[in-house]
Amino acid sequence: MTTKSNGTQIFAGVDVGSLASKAIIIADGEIIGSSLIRSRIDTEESGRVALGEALTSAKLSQSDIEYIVATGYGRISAPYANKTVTEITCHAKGAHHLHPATRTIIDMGGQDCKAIRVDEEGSVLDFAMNDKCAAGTGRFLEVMANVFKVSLDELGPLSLSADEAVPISSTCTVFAESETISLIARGEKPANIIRGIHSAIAYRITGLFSRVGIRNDVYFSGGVAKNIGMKTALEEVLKSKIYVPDYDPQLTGALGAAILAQKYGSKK
Amino acid sequence: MTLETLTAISDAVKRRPAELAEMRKNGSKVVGYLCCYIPEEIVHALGLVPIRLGIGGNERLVELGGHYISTQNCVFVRETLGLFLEKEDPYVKNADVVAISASCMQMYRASELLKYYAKANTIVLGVPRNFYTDEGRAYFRNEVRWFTEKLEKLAGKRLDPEKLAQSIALFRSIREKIREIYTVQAKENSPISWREVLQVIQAGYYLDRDQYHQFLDELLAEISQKSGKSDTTPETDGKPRLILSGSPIPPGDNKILDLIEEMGGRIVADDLCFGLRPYLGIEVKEATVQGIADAYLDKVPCASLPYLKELETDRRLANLSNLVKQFQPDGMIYHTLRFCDAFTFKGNETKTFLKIPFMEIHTEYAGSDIEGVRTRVEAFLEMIQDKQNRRSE
Amino acid sequence: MAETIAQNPHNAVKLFRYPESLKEKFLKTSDIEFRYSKAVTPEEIWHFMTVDAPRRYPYAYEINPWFRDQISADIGFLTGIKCRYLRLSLKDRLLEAHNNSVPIIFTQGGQTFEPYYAAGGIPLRPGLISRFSDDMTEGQTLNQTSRDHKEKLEFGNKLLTTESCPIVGPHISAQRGLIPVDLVAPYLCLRCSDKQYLVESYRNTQNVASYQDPASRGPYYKEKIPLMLIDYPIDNQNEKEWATDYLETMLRNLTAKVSELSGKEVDDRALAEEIRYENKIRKLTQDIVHLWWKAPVPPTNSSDFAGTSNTSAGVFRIGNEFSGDPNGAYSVLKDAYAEIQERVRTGVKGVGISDDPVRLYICGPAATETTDPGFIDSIGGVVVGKDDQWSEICTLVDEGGNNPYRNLAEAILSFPMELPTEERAQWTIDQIKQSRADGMIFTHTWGCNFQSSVARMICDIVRDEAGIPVMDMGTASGFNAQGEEQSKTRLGAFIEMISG
Repeated sequence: MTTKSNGTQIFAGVDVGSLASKAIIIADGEIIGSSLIRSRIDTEESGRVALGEALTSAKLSQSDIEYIVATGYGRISAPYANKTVTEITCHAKGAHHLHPATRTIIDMGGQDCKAIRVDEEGSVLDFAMNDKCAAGTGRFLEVMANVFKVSLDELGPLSLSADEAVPISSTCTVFAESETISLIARGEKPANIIRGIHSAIAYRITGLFSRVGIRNDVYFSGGVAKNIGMKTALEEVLKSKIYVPDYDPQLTGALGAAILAQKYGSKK
Repeated sequence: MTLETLTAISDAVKRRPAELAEMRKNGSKVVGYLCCYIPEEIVHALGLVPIRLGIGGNERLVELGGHYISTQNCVFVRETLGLFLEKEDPYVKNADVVAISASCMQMYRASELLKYYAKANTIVLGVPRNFYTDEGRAYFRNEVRWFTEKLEKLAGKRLDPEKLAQSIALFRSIREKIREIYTVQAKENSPISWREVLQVIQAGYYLDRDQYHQFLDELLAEISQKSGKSDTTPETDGKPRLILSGSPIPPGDNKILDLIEEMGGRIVADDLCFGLRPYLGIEVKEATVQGIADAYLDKVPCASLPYLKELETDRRLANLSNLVKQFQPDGMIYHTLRFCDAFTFKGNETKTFLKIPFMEIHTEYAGSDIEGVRTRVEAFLEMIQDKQNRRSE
Repeated sequence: MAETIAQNPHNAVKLFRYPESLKEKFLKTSDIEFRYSKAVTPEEIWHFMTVDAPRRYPYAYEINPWFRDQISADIGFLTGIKCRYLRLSLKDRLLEAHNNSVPIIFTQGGQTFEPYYAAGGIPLRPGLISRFSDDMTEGQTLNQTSRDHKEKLEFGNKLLTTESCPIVGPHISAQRGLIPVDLVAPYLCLRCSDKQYLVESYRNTQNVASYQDPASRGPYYKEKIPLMLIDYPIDNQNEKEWATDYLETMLRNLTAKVSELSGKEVDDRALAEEIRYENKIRKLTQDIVHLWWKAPVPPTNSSDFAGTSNTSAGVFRIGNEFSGDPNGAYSVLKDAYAEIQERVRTGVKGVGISDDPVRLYICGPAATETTDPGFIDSIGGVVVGKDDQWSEICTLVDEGGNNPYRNLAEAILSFPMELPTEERAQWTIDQIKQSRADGMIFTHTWGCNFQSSVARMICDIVRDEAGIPVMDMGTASGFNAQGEEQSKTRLGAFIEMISG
């Protein structure tokens, strides 16, 4: 049934993003299963597959789950979920769970980028989203990786190997791409340009902060948090350390959704 | 090669911020203003120091301003806000009051934000949209009168009619001389370039007006002297001649100007508000506050003021036609800033009206689109050049 | 909720149908009196709304969760049917008026309309011109009508600029002559920065290549449409005599011009009478709104209360935007008052409203429709106010003295939304307190620089002084009938944040 033989209830969170779909299974507040897959065109399918893989990793089936919360861009087609919650609220909860000292979250995902301020309970106090353009998102960095013919994972380390940052003035992905190409043509070192790109993105994000305000500790989540170059650039701009969890930062939203599933599903 | 007076003017501008700081210590008051509808004559006649504020091209200040105003506002307005928030510009620091006219609506909003976020002391001068009607005129005359009263309070004295007459005469003369110098730059063997004239015009925003007037005389004398000489190399043979119009290009915004020069174009005329336009069609017929209001209302208007009658009677367009006749450009570059509605809405219309080769460059201060703009300018110049060549064959 | 019958040959589309069970109750309600057309009985309204309109304007009946103008789930709110009737009968009434030589005037939203009606004309705001124009082609699905709508917007963007606010679409309709427009004469209040340049663009229509082609012109094309701008002197305008003088003169010129077109004589008395009538409408709307605000639970849902500007189906909106007939609006508002009063008395909650909803007050220009009322209700919110039209509704015109033009000018110059932003923010805080709003959202559409420029300032003042959460929400497009994902996420997060 929906509880294990020892009485523990099990909850799931599913985060369907534009680039990646993630799922987390928790029991007693502990993570017992997870998944991370590339999103497909069919968002409902993406969510189901992510959930399925997480269940498999925990040796469970969907009927074992008491309550499911879906979040992310694909939450609008998640008929398997009991409730949908926005990724802002979920990221807040997830970050708080992994790092209770979190008071500000910077989330840089596939297609948007957010700043969220939270209180000591992980409740959202204020937020700002920059989802009108791709600058500062996973998509933008994918485009840049393509320009330099490297993998996304290599961008961060390349950025750190630079001896200086070449200034990039574009605020738009399309123009940043052409600006980058002309910088390469002008003979600038790729590592230096890449460093410049990371600096430009970090600087851009400060616009979000001016509305929301920054309090320590700052938690960096989303797929882009795995980029060491981006973390470094942000720390330079903020002039303080930011926290990237050991646990995959890309799973923060799904984790928050699972915690909320536990909250809503436990009221029985 | 550079005229000596130009060096002297540029040195004077360098000294000016320190001068202003000193003057203010001794009790002088500075009225910074952000638009050419602010009546300088009245400021000057009251013994106040008029300084035109505003710079362009600084993306960092645009970013800063954009935190408080929206990123959907034009870059000049955003930068102005950034400039005041940062408070490092020497002229901003030395302005006791900032006068803004409500001709451009975004500038008006900037005045509210300057007051609220940058704690600036602002005075707003209302400008009627229906600027060519009797009721509009009545309104503006009252606005200028009320504006004068505010300045009188700042100056601590009433406006003296004699001083006003003197200021009017001074500014009339300044404008005449600027127009004269301007006419020289478009000629084939001119000893002064359009760019240099622009610098002279912009120096006039900062310098003491009497001193400036003197500089203009010296400059005219030097030009007339140099024009006779045969060793002035005609630097402009064969270059495509351009007229530049559109959104404000304030001091510091060199992007399009540098690019045009680099690609081999020669600007010979403009109707920019940080260029020639404020000096055109403005004639104070009566040495009174009302006379000044009428003169400013009747001068060549800014595109921010809508004109609803026939295109043929539109003074902005008529002025452009006159400039085309007088300076014989081969084509027009119509430079608009993103979100500058006043000029952008009228791009197509201006093109159709003037019937000369026309290109609109729609841009911001960021250098990111420089290559795209370069390609456009280059192609346009090639097109004009080609047309000329075919005509001369 | 509602029965669904696929009536449309495009069988992927499900259409809403008012259930027969409502009919008996509906027939007991009163007629709608009109000024420019004859009165209609509930029988006629019911027939139109259940037989004619679904056939002629199927898009309005589409059941589609992304459709912002979805018919309200609260079909028991019978006045809601009349509100929608006003909107869907717009085209017929306007063509009838046009055939009777009543001049149709293109105005702005959120302004007063006395001069136009007093002089025998019909003023229409951009949203209504837009709907009038789109409805000229009947039998369209939502996708089809949205495409047509978009085509005009795109055309305007190409002709003028991509940075224009979405009201460029209706102006293109007017320029092409798709609908009859006899005069373009908006007030510039809400100090719309784009409106003035859009009006200015009419003087160039003779040079627009595609207008020269008779095939792309509409049946009402005119070489020259008369133009006027009723300017709005700004900055501490209500402290200056000469600002009032200026506006008074322009109002007189406006009335004279409309009078010239309609052939109806207008003296001061006619304007004074119109002012009295429209004050009645304002007062009644204020009463409805305060009644609704004081109720412990929202007696109607957001669609029926605030509505969207496209449908004008919200009673709130009808208080300023009469769908081309002030008497029609007044009739419907009287019904709305009675029905809401009864619901408040019996503690009825609007259908679709959750228990203890998050009450949202929305600021921003009318041209923005980022706040999908049905969606907000479905995620636990409710829209309690929208400031652009409310600013005008809140301002009663002085009926004393012997210069009604001056009284009108003074009233216009004191619109709370046009005052210096700090004062506007204080008025906003006052409304927030009265409406017991839990949060405020400032919306602004692409292309609107005048409103977006003060978004942060108003948000900051409200947050600091009213102590409620605020959100500054811009959008990419204007009249997108199907709401945007980004807006939905932001609204969702904001409501979640406030719910704790």
